[in-house]
Amino acid sequence: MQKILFFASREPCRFPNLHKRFNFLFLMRVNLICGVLLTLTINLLASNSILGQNIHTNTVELGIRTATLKVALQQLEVETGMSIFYPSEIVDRYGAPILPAQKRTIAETLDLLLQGKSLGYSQRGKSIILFEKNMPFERGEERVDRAAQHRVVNGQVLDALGKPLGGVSVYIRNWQRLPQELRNVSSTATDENGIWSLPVPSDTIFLVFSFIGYEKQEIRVGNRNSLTVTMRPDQATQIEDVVVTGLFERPKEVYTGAVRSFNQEELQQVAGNNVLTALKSLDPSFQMPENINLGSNPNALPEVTLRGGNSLVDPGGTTTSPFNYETAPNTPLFILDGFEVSLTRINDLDLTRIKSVDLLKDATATAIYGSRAANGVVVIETVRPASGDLRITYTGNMSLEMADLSDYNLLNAREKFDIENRTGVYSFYGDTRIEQQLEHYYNHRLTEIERGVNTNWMTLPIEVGVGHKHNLYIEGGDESILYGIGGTYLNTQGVMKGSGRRNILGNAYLAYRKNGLNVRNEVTVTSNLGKNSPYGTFRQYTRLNPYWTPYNDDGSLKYYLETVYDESGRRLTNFDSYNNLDGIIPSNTNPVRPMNPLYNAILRVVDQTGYTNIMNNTALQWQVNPWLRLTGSVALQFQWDESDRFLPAQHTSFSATETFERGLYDKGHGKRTNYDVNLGANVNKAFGKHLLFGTLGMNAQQVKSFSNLYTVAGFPNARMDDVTQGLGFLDGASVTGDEGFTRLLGAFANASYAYDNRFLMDASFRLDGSSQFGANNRIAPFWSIGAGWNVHNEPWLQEEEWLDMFRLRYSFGYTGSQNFSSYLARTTSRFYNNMDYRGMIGSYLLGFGNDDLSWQKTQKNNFGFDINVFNRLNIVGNYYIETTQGSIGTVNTAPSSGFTTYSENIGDMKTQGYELYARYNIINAPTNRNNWSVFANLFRVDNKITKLSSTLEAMNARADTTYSTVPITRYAVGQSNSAIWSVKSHGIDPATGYEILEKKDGTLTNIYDPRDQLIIANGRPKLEGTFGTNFEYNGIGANVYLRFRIGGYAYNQTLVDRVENASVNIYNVDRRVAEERWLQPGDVTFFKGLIDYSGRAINAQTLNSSRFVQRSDLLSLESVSVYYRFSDALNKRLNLSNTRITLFSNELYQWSAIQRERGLDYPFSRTFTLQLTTSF
Amino acid sequence: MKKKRNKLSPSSASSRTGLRGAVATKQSGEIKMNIPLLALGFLLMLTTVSCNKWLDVRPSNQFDKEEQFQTTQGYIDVLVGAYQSMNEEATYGAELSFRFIDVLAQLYGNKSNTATDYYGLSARYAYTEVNDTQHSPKTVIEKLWTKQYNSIAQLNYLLKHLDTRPAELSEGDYRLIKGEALALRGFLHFDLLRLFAPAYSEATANENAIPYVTEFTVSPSDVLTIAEIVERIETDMLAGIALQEDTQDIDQIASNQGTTALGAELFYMFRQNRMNYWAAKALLARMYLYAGDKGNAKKYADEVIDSGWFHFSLISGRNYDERDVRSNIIFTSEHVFSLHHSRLKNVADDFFKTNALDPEEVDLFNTQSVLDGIYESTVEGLESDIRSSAASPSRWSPHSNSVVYSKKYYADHSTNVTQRLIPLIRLPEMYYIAAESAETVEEAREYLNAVRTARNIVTLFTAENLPDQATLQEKLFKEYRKEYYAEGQLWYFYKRFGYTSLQNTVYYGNMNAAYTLPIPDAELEFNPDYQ
Repeated sequence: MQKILFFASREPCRFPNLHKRFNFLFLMRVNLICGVLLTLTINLLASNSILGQNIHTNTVELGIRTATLKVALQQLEVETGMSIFYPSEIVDRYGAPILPAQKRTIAETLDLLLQGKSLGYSQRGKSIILFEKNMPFERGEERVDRAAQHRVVNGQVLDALGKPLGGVSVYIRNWQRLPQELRNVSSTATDENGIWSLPVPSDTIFLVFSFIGYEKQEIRVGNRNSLTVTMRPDQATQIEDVVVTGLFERPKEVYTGAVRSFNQEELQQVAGNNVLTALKSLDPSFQMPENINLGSNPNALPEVTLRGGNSLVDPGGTTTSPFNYETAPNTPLFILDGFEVSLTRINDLDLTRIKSVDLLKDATATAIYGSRAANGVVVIETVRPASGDLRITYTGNMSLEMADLSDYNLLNAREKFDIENRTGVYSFYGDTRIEQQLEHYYNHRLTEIERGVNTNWMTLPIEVGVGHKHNLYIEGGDESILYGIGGTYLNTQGVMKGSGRRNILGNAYLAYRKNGLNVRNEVTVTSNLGKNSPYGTFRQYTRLNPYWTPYNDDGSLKYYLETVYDESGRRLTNFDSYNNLDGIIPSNTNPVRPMNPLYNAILRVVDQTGYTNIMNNTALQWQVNPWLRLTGSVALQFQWDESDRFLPAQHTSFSATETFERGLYDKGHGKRTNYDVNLGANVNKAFGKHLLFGTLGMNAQQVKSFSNLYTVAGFPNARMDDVTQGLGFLDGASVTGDEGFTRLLGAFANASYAYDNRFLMDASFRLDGSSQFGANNRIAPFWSIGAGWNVHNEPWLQEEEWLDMFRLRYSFGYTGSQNFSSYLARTTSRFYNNMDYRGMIGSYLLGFGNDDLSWQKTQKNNFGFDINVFNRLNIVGNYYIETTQGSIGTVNTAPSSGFTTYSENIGDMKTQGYELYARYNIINAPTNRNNWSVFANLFRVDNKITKLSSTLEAMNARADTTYSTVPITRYAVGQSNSAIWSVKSHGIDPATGYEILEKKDGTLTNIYDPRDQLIIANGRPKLEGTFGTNFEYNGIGANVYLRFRIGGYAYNQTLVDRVENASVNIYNVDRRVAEERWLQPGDVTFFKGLIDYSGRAINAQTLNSSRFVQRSDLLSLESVSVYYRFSDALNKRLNLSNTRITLFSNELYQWSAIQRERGLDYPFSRTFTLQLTTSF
Repeated sequence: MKKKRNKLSPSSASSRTGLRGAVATKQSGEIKMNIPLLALGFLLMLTTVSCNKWLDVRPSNQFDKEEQFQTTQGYIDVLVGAYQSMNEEATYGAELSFRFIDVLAQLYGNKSNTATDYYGLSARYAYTEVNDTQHSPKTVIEKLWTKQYNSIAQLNYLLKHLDTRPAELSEGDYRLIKGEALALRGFLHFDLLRLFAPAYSEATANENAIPYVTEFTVSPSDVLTIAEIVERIETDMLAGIALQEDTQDIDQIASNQGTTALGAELFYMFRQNRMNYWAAKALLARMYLYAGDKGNAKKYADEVIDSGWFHFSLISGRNYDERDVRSNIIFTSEHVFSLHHSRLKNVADDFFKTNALDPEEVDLFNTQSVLDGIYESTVEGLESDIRSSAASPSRWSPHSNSVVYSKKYYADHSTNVTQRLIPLIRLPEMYYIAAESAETVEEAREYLNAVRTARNIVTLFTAENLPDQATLQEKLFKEYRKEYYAEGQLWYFYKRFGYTSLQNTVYYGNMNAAYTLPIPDAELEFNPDYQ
């Protein structure tokens, strides 16, 4: 697969003689070649040569009577249908021999034409490349004389299959330092037999071997006179140099869009299994906000945004689909091998299957996705088989997940008991009867503590999750047929006992190619099963009192955790107000006893969701001629979802339920079908200094989904765990469900133009029609335009060797977003399904469909630069401003219209920010892969709401009257959407133990009024990013990724819920309750008192105040990996190749300015993964 | 392709022609290459033309207007949906028939239990209180307003598409559907008017009241004055009556015990459960009385009375056993308009306790002594009233002396359809309207005595106990209270006459403010006419 190594590296210009002589002309030629090669190979099978014709066997009948070689070559081009590329300057010098018209092979014709000239040729697919044969000894007496004083080294270059490789550039590294007379003879190219020779002045010289599509090699000559070099096909570099948009590809050198590309190697430096985790570390603008509640739950679908997202999220909006069929408003578009897929699919994708990921960010890069592009696009390409003999690659790993409970700081049994005692839990003034009863509790608990009960509940549902993955990939093929078959088994085990996620993936790839026609088909089957822990939510375990034990004296598990009797043997109920978090809320009329959650774990609780996904992609490609390619592809995707949740009758949540309703089974089914059709035409053409790429295409897409859910009750026996065994539906319940159906039709055009490789331009246009838009607004236009300037290619900078790249670019355009449910734009009805009207069944309106609903429009501006100096320091920067209009939200209307809300395009937002990616290569030796680099990626985003819907304003008004312990998300014009609203606090009054709050007018008060809420801080960091280092020496490597966040704030929920508002009398609490609260007048504390200055208990809840808004600066050791790459010799001895052993660790350590409990429902974890990759 | 063409050109051509040939080939090649492009462009154009149609997706578990209004059945579905929508708890399924509205009328004894729960707050007319977000006077009023207008929107949705009817919809069906829809729209607006506007008087007639919504749109409609609303209702009702003129006799009111078997022409049956011809007239009688037009009120009341379709429930052979297939606690033969509620048993379970379990917070009950007061059971000559627990103990379900439930909504037999009805207009009211509108007291007495007789009351009204107009109001009040316990009519009676204190009340403030429900905040905020 010979992709354009030359494009980005500018390496060819560094060939001394070429550089001097050809200048940009050579570059242009190279660009042309690359363009054509690109055309030939894009989306095609990986192969080193494409044989439409063989120049040695195919004949041509041609007579030549022209004066110049150039014209002769053109004639040959026409006759053979092949393209011939050549350095014009040299060809211009030559004339052509007269050839009589007769049948010859193409090669023979060429031999005749080039006889006696310093030109060699080689075939590259449908092209013939002419190159200058360096014949230093024939060129001029004088130079030969001087050069002849030096030793001449020769050798042969072979490709991976052992065949000679012609046209490979061979030159001396640092030729600039050679004596003047040697500079002009410091480079050459191999002939068709792969043979080369060069005069070499000393043993310490390094020779560089470079060829399109192969890894560059640097070899120290030493005292050898002859060396044989085997070129390895280069997969890493070629990807970096192409921007893959999913619909077409463009060389990076001439692209004006803001795109970050990663290849497999880079992804695998960070993580072993999940591509999203890897991207998070590689590019800080790709964000997955930490979910404080769900922690490291393997079954939690992360929230993903690129550059922060551009939609205003309706805070009241909830998704109804149980299987994530609806996309969150700010989720970027995911394109897998050219087709849109869901976030779930990407989350479950095997990282070893990924070849490259491109993050498309700005207008130039995304506008061709039109109405889906506002939140950015993530383009993922999977590995395609490489031709050659049968090759088997195995990747396997084992990972350990360990719970990270370091954020928890709970009381032990005695401490908990002490604080209960101190706060008067066991006294009840004025009622001696109750006091006597409480005495029994006091004695009971104290006895338990004395006998040594001190349960650390948190550790009980936790284990070390042992997961493993095995991936096997078999590939091979020849020039016309390529195949690849692979399978992955991935089993992730969470830290909560019994939780885990199991994926089985299989895929088969087959491609056939003949005469420019190329057909391929790929089938991928994914089977997933996510199991939730039968132990329930982790939150429960952090609340259970340590003086309780889960076990009876005989070692069996308790059902009720605490049973206290009075002297007459009656059970006491004073503390029967324990919320077991199972939906049964204790109240005066509904006593609830603390239940043992471990008891449930021994039952046959089932709690799982799973799916099977089948995806079939078929693509047809026709290379009409060297500059035109037609493509057509169809993708079908089916997904079946199933969810099961079974709680047997013995489950503690049924302790108060009637016998026949005990035992519940929630069953869910869902299906999602996608059809996606793409048609396209690609054009590449070069005329003189002009280079043009064009793509014209259309795509049609249909997504249909439905789900249904029902609950069956009455499973008296735990072994009756099949849904059919239930007694029936709960009263009044029926099957619920959800349905979605969208269609999208788009036509797009894109053109990229480069003049002289200096001035660049990209333009895109797309027309999108979507079923989600209102009937009056069905077709939406989107467009973008981008301009760039390759400053380093300016003639006045050509001589500056230190400057390898300096490009400026700017893009502007409009994109849209349609992450909203299917039928907002239609008025639809549904039948009543739970009652009839005298035998008839009527329909009711589901809502008012807004016929005028249209797409959300985001205007994107992006200024960017790419700098590379001394080939060591690489800096990429982007500054962007994105303005969103008409974010779709619900709008309130007068209820007299019959509806309270409808959907409308309302809510405008302006986002701006920058990204800066810098990498410095301290060591870079491609020959032996030794390298050491340090990098830093910085990201900042700010947004400001510029217009608000009436609904959101109404919600703000509600927030003004709601007494909440949590800041309520509210939006205000001119403010960020991540602003934290709180009542300003002046801390705890040392005299009274009460909080001093500031009213809006500046006066101080003890009385909380939600109307005094102000914007206290912004939740978004001022600067965030990742930094670290990549290192490899002699096959041993290490990668370190650290993340930092500076300047953001967060509301410390732990302090409110688990310290100030903690129900000390009922639940276990954070240690700070015991140690840092106000006790007596004069105490200067952060926390308010449990009792006030007059000794009265402070019962009022602490509400959202600025006291708890804290800086959330963070430094975390996100990913560390070390690896060992087997040397070629070792590989050979083991009969293997590309063997590598890696040890990853994720989330190793975190330092945070804010001390809060993290992982409330599910703990966070640290993971360690040991991975082996090898091929044979 | 290319090769072939080249073969056609003479291979021995001169270099010049060869060159020209090459150029020519190149050009033709370009044209050829453009053919796929052109084809693609053409395809694009084609698809764009048909694209609108392709993009018009049809949901499968819901249907949009094109699908809905293709068939006659579709129109019927929307109309029936409007009745079903009235069955929701927020309106006639509870709040407007026996719950909120009768708590306001102080008809239940348990409302005073606590002043902070929903009943306590409602009985104290604390309309703006929000004690819990799910069920407090404020949210109930908001939901009531929203749901009532939602049913109106359903009708407007139907009316909007009715005039572009398909050929399949026959003229008869068209008139029937439109007649019902218009009359029902009037009916719904009338209750909104009675609740949210001050009682009608010359002084208030020109006050802004509520929007009268006739369009299917999300933009708010104009707020009209009471007089204007009355006029609009009159227009809708009269139009509804006119459209149903031909079908006034298809009603099958005589037998309520109908079949609901499939295949029956259900749409033409059980007319008393729909806004039929007579119901529209009865509503007009009610409305004219409200608007002080006694002449018209009497006219329409008489028409309903004289129609012959409705007759009083039997005294002898009466059956109030809810488990019996022929029981008729709700007096169905008197129903001019009632809603069929297929899950009424659940409602009764919730509010009137069909099982003798302990009373719950949501239950609606009264004490035996208050009920005895209402039915004057201790007064001689009145104790035989079939509505009272004294004469018909099985119409009532005492849990204890202090907790007595009405059995009006009890339904314990699976095929007894009569016990799944929520009455909205019943025959006695027509007699009461006629009595109130009668020109002479004698005439009024006759109307009232007709009801009294039908209720098995021995003591009829005479010149002695009902001598003049002044006493008439007092007697009417008692009749309404007896007749419409848990049927949501007493409140409007109180309001019409502006009673300054209510019977058995727990509220001692100014009733004037209490009679008018506040317009919900959302309406005030989003309807510019209220600003």
